[in-house]
Amino acid sequence: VSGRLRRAAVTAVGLALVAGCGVVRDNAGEPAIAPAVLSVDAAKTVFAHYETVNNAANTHLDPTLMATIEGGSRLVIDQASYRSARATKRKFSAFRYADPVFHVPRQAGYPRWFLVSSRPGKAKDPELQLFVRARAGDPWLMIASPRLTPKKKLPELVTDADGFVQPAPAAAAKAGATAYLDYLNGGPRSRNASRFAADPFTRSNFADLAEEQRHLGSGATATNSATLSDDPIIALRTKDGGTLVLFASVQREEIRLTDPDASLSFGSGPLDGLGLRPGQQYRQFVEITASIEHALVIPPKGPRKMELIGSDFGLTKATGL
Amino acid sequence: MRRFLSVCGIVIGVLIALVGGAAAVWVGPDDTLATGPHHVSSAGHAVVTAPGVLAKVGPTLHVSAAGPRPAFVGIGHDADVTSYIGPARHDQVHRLNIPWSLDTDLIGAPAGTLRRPGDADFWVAHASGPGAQAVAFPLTDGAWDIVLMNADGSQPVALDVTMGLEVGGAFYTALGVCLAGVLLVVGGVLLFRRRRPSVVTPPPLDGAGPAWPPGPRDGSYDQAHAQWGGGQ
Repeated sequence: VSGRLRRAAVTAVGLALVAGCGVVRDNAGEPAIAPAVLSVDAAKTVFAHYETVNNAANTHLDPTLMATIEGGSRLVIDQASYRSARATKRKFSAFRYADPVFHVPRQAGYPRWFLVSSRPGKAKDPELQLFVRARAGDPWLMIASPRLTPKKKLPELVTDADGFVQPAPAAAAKAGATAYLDYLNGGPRSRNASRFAADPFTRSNFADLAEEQRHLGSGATATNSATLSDDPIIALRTKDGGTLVLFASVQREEIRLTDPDASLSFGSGPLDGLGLRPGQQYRQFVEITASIEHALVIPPKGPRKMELIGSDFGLTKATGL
Repeated sequence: MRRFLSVCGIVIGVLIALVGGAAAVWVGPDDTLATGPHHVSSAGHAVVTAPGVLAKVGPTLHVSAAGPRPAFVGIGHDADVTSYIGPARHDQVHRLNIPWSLDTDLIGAPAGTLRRPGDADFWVAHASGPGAQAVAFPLTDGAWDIVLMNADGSQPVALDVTMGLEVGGAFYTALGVCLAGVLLVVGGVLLFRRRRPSVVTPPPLDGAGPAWPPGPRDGSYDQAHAQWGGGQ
């Protein structure tokens, strides 16, 4: 009873104050417009920090330092390139990103992201640097930086009155990414091929595989399989009603030797430091893994085809027996 | 009727004066309704309020916490807090009853670690370190969570917590309510003590004093038959 009395008294006091003051009202919940994931100034700070730490990590070939600013596909590619650089005594020179343009969305949940388009060093073609924060409290990490195909431009992006870009539905973006990988896996005569405009990266991928098969002859078979990576798929609305999709894939190429007398060996080259021993004879199989970052444009409904406008590729691992 | 009204006025006035006075004492000149310190603990990494707990907008929320280990107290958006806590074990507060009782559920997995909360940049208000740590946050529309942790993100959590709501003008409002109650009491007392209209007693004509009543009992006064000092 004393508890009830006390609660009643407290409630009465509270009501008296609330009624008297008139400045307390019920929480109306979330505002209709989601907040920006960060301010453009904060994005500039993240980018500047990336630029500084990236050069330091490159100088010392320090994968641990690199892991403080990169994640996902980009980190896997760059850590592999460090292993390769140590094996070949290659050095990286410091560089700056020129003409960065920041594309920051409004977004309520996680993972959060923002995009930068800029030119690294003296490159003519811009890159798209995708930064992601997977969880609250995590650092911003660059997870992909596909380079735009020569003569391709970043499509104009939808922005609101405050200049924030607009995310596009994830389902359509994932469908587009999956269709592209089906095309990549199936080849130029596959079911999905007619949905995509020709692009130099995909064409070269097909040509390389065909050339490799010719080179291997009948004693070995090469199979390619690209799957979506675990990285988030990011989609932005474009002004023409389409969608710009950024995603990463993992490509595994397996060369299986069918001739018992045949063997494969690798000289010094891009696979140095990634797991194969130069000069060793591999008689059963060799598996080479690569990460690929893609920038895909899905047009609005109509006759236009989907088009890969940018990509980056890095060998990350190789094993054999 | 008048007596009934006056008694009602006095009773209601006393109640209002008591409520206003108690509120003024509780709120104090800093306009803050405070409760605590109260012991709050969790076997997990944190004690986190659900968004519905901070259901009001307008006041400034004050939270302070102190414990045997360096403490962390923070206020963040529910989307950020949920993402930060993730699957880590913690106590979620579903309801906070004033003056103080918490309805909580221990949820999440026992294993796992959390980054130091003070290193995160999503807090709208936070403080961490040894001794009492205090934050203030003007409550606005939105889903806001209070988070209590050890400063290093470890488990378990044991803290003494004081919470307060600062309502602008609350102290003077409470005083005003108290004064209104007092005025009501005074009014009631005056009404209670008010006499009937007095009848003028004429001076005795024969020195024996007035006979009462001097005239007819129906209130009309028959001047012709009026006489002082005797019967009719």
